[in-house]
Amino acid sequence: MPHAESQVWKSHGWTRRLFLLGVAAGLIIAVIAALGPLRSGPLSARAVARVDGVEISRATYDSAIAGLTADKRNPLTPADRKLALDRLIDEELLVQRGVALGLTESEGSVRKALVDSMLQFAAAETAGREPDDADLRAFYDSRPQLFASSPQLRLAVAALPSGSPAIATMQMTLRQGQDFATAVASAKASLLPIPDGFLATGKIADYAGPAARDAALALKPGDVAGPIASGNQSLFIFLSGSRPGARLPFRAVRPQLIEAWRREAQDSSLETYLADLRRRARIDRKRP
Amino acid sequence: MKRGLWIAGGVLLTLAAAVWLFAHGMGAGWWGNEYDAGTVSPKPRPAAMVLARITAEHAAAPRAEAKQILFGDLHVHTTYSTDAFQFALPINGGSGRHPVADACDFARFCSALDFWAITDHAEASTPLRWQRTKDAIRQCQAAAGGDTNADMFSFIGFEWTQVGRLPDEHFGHKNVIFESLDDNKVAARPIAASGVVTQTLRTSAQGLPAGLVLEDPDNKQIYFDFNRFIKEIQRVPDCAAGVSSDKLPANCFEQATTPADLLAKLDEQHLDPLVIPHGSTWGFYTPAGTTWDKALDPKERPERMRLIEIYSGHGNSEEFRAWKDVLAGPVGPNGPTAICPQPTANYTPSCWRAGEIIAERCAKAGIAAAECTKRAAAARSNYANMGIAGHLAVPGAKAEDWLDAGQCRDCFLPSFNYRPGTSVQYGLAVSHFRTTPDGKPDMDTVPDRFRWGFIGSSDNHRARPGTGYKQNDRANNSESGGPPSAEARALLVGKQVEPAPQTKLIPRDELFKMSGFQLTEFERQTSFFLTGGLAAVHADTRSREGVWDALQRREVYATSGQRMLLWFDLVGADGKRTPMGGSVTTTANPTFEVRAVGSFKQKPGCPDFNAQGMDKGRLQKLCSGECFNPSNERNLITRIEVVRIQPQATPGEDVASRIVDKFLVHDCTPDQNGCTFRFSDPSFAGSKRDTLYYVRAIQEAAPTINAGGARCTRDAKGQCVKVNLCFGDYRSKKSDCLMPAEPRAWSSPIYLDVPRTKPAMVTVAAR
Repeated sequence: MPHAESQVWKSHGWTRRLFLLGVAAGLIIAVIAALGPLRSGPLSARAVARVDGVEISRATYDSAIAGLTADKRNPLTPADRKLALDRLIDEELLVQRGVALGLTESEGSVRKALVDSMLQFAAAETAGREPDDADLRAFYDSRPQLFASSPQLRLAVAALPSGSPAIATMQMTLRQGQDFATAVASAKASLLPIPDGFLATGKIADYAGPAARDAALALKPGDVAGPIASGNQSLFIFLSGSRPGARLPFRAVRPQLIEAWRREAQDSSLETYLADLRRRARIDRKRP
Repeated sequence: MKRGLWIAGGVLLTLAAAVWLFAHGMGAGWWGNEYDAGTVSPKPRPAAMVLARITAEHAAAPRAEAKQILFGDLHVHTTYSTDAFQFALPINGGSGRHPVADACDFARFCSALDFWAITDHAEASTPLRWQRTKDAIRQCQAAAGGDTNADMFSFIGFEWTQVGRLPDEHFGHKNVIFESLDDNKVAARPIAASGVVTQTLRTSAQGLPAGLVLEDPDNKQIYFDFNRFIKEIQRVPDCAAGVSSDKLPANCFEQATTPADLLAKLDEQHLDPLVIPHGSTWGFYTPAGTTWDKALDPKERPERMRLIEIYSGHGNSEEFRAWKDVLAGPVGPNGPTAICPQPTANYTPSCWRAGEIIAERCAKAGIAAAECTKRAAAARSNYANMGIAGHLAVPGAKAEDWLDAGQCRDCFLPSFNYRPGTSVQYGLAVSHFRTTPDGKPDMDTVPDRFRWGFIGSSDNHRARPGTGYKQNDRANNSESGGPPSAEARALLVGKQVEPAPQTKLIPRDELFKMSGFQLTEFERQTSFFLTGGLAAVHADTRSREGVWDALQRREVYATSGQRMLLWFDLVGADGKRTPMGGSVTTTANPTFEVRAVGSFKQKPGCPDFNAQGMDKGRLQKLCSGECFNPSNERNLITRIEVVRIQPQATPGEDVASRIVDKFLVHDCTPDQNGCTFRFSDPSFAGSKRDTLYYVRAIQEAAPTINAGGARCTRDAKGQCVKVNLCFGDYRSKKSDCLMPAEPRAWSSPIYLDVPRTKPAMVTVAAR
């Protein structure tokens, strides 16, 4: 099964628990060290804590507090605030320990999380810019297929077995200027049960198959085309009318255009970001 | 030293508090996010490539039928449904969230449908989710080209997921679908079914344990999100009782107990949606012994159910069988009781098999034969009286132990644990007779009956409408999911109960307290999940109104997933035609015409969307790389079967004798252009009975996911002695479990009524 979001379940069981025990032990040592004689000078104004020289910023703390406030029905107590800060310190300790253990290189899930975060970070770099009307208009004009429905055709289709001599009869009758119905009758062709009305192109495929649909799209009203190979049959198509696909006006689709613009802008910014990284890095590779 | 101890103690306390905060936060959904409905791809579906041509004179085309056949799926779930979200979790082998926007894109680009409806479970809805669902559907419609000349029409709906613990309380699931996308023309809030499902999915839902995150930390966020999802449902307050539905605030949780209750609430909001029963024979949740009879009571408004889902990814609900899954017993102090019936040639009741399993274990344990016989009888009785949880009467039984018990052996792709009393044929054959003031049946009044049109649906829970176009990717195109490893399964199922040589009765009160999925045979069920069916409509115009009107007048048919073309008309003496779904009052023997054309065989892969602007990666993710991609060769129609049903004309008439399942079988000459034939019923006039006819067009066999069901090895007598179940979990790996089956289309019936007063022939418009 293809996993759309690559979310594969992995049990880490006892290995994971042992790892966690190790992390907890390391944590205890690290906290003792942090609170003990290794403590160094005063914190900077924008920091709320420092863990082995790495500061935890007030902005990070405020964000954690905001999250906690949103999830909690009652006002936050000093104990909640302390717990939130403790959690940030714990997190930092674990991160430092993980980096020291080389998890960013050896642990696939850590690498994946890091790569995912970087992709999001790169994509978010343009998120601040919102498209204005000119951007959206240019976007809309340069993509004529956006918000446009397919053309609709009115047609009749007759079928004969492939290789049947009646195919020549049908062609000859049509070339002699006879109408489609007469040609169908003279060749004893089967008329496919196609509704007498305008049909979307997908619907033509439902009734007559993709070959007939594709051929019909190339016709002008009044044209007859054939023989067209379709399975073990030869088809003749008479196109009696066509309507171009309609397009929704710019104003009607403005909200959807904004979404589409953002998505494309993110994709494009990611490409630029990666190209920049590639340019700045020294990459040696062997021919695969 | 002392300082060190204080520090260590403090750190340990901090750690303990952090662990508590984490575990509590997990349960409370603090770490999860409430996700949105996604963004629909704004790109158009592609046109096609051009071939060479010859050109001739202008000419007039021969006139033909003006209506066009449009294909859709009116039953689709996303991870805004609790069960769909559960299936999407990595521990269940799921592939992550499937928002509403994915369903829209799948319908447009993978299955290339003409219309579809979102029907997430009302029991999991919140005001925010309902708003986001409506917004996503509108976005989907806009992306499809607006409301006229669109490449697809999207409808807003919800599922009212009613389950009764006993047959008398069970009405089954109904989809509620609205024509318009306007806020004031759809329900202010989805209306949930009170009782078992709301209890399971909302009131007592517990969420996932914190330990799961330690077991599968890589996917912690989706587990956090799931718990948040559950908590958000619970945060919505119940709507005030006794207040008219149109006077309630939008942000409350509204419930209805019965179909009558549901329809009354919709009436209060001045809404007239389609209300479509579905999965009616599915014994996964339908209690054994349930029938349609009570739903025909006029107070339940049977006339409002104009359509029924005859086939879905959960199985076929068409065929009636006379055998019983349980028999009604005497009413005891705790309510009605049930008795286990004997097996028949084509059916072994699961309760009977419970007795066999216990007898085998008992004999193996060296217990005396007389005692074993007693224990077997007790097991049968216990199973019969434990409803859908009957299998728990046999402690430690594995899915394989049940062989093919409970299954309809001679039905076409039947629902799991088949309930014939809620089959479509039973529903069409049964009548409800009103009573006179002195309590006798009122034979002067026309009895109440269902007048259904037939549709097929997917009931897919992976946001994949219209999955039946190809038989691949069983895990996503059907509901066959499950844990990806033995460890994950152990974590989910818990400690296995040891097989014991005696039965266990779980009292009804205790069963009522157990959560929903715990009671079901989910592992055995996965061998019976199918890809989806389709609803086909004969629409006057390609428009929202065109689709809606065809559904309302029942000019619709169901398919088992393929795009077969089907026409079924009553042809009057004057040449006037009444199409499928119509009704006519007549005394004349009827003549019908049927035409069926097979679906186009599929090519692998997708049409060349890449060149047309559809992103290849998105297409792969969305459709598993396989789209609706027809070749130019059609499958052949091999035969057309005609079904005739003459509903009960007097109370108590035997239902089985009212149904002639193969009234006629027409073998078709192999022809790419389909199969056409006419037939009459020379016995209609003489019978003086109301009669309905419908047709099944059968296509040549093709490999089909789970067509083998339990995949039995049979002995010389034809009895199932061993099964090879197709599990949704790691045990069946990635196999699609393909077996041949004959795809089909079911026309809606044409209803012929004999005149009550004047014997003149009157054609009645179907709507």
